[in-house]
Amino acid sequence: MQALEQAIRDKARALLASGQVRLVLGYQAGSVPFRTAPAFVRVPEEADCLVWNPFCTNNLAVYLPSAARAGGQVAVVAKGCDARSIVTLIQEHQVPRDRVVILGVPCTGMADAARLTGGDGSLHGIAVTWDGEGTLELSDAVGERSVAVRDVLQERCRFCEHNTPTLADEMLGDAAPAMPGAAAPFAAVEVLADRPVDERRAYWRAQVERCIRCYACRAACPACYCRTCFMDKAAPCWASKANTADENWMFHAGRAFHLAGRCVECGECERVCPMGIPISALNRMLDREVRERFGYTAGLDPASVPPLGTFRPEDPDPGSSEER
Amino acid sequence: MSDQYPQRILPKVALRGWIEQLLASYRLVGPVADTETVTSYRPLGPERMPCLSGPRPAVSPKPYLLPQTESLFTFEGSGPALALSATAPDATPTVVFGVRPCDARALKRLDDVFLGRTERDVHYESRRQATVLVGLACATPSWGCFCTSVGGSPAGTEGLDVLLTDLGDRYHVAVLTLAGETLAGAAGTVGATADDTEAARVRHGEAEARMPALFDLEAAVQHVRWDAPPWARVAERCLACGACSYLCPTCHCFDIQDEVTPDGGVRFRCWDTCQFGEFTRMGAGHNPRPTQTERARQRVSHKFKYLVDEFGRAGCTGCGRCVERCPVNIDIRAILREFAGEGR
Repeated sequence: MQALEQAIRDKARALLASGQVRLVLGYQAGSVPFRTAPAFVRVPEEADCLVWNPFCTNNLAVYLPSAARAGGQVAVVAKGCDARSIVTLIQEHQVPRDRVVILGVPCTGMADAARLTGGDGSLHGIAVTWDGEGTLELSDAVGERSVAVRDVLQERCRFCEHNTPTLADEMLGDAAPAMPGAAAPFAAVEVLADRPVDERRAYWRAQVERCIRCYACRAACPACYCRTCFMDKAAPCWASKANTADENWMFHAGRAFHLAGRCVECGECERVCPMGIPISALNRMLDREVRERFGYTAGLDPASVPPLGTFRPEDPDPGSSEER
Repeated sequence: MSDQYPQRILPKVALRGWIEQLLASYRLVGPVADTETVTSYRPLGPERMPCLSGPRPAVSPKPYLLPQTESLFTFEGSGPALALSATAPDATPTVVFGVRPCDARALKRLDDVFLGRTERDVHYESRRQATVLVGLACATPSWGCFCTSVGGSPAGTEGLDVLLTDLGDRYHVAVLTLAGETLAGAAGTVGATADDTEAARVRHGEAEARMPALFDLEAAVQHVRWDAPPWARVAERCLACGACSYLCPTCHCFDIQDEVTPDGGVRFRCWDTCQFGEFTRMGAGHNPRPTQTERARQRVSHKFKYLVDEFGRAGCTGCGRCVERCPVNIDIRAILREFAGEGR
């Protein structure tokens, strides 16, 4: 039994047994060994279903606004990115601070299951075990092999700068070492940003042309908590339900701007996209802008005010006629 | 396998020639890699040959029969001068090349709905009649696949005109219909020997052996009910996106919308899904499926109860896309196992 997993179970059990919280949000074993599923634990006896491994990828903060509205206190298992999402939800008055108990888990990065496939390109029938440290043992039709989690990380995890939660009521473990790409979080998007504008326009058009408007990106995003999204409004109708590259771009660009200075780069939007659209590159570009213009990084300090949620006369105004 | 038409062999070196020949008379669509991990059915061309290896594509060919958005009619003017003009049904001769058995079978389920006993959808019917399906037997299951649990097979022929089976340096070509014979006759094929046909049969058996049935379909169907425990449990973590429905080769629900400009406009239909709250919200605000619990019940019950009641066949071919792409690991196989009484 791995120590962190045991700590999560013990803490969940104690919080439920004492009646301090009515619900613990965590991870349970999934239907296959390379996935977990969000767990809603309500009684101490069920705390042992909670797991911790490199497949605890979901950002559970997405469930918090409705869980908090339902009353009582809710505990949530939070990786670094999840904790940053919780900070933004507190800042934006979606989750009262005193309703959430943040169980911080230091994260060493989540594995990208697609990188575990054998030579036949399939994960069918694969058995996966984690050694509790940095290695996954795999066994499938192709044979047995072991891979380092570091070598199969999800892209967003490689660039994660805050893998140890910055806000937690209780830290369940020691701080995790920095992620490999943390020193240059914009390295990948800068390659894209440096291309000529026509090329970028063509690139994004080709990407959004493939969008099927399933809205999984929006649904998985803790910051997309609007109860009626602008895309779903019939009056006024901001965008058509017709699937065209223009309308799809309206959605993706609109969503990206709504998330400017709010996105914590948990990357869930991109992970859940069934079409493989590199959605979070848009968010990361805007995050870079916000950091450069306003010196602000989302999701670190619940007492701070997000730059696009406030106004000061001395704010830089890159769009003004003087600066142009 | 049909004995009505001769079994053939197509050497792999002759594949490109066959495809180029077909391109002269048909729109060809087939599996193409969009990204490193996502393969969809896309239009083929001399510079874009189909990818005929690996697991089934991540996206089904449904859009070629039931486009995500399609015009029904356009209108001009207003008042007494309003003029409507019906959009002509699309009848472009099309070959879906390398379609997997689950996806071909799914079109038969769409036929149940759109070419039904009482109503026939002219747009769907036109495309369907113009489409020929050249199948490819699956050698490698994807991790969510469960065709054998819902009456299908990695080498199933339902709905197909031709079934190709990869035999290494050549394809076994099983011709199943006259339309298939028309295509395969032009392919530069040679007659298959008894050994070839036996080799294909062995491949099919190997593929089936890799995916034993996970539950008893009849038992599951019998126990799908209105007030079953799984609905609330599934809904609790469901994020209410449309990935399952939009990737599903048999989900077919749509919305109808007008796009109006000062001079006229277009009435189109577009995919919609029971997983969206807006899907059932009435004009006055009432929603008969007020929470995700009712919506979770709807999707599974539609496939495994309502369509069974109506047409005698479940509306699922076990392609497993909903399983693989659910952001929160809602696995319809686990739900069906539970209904079949075979554990969670």
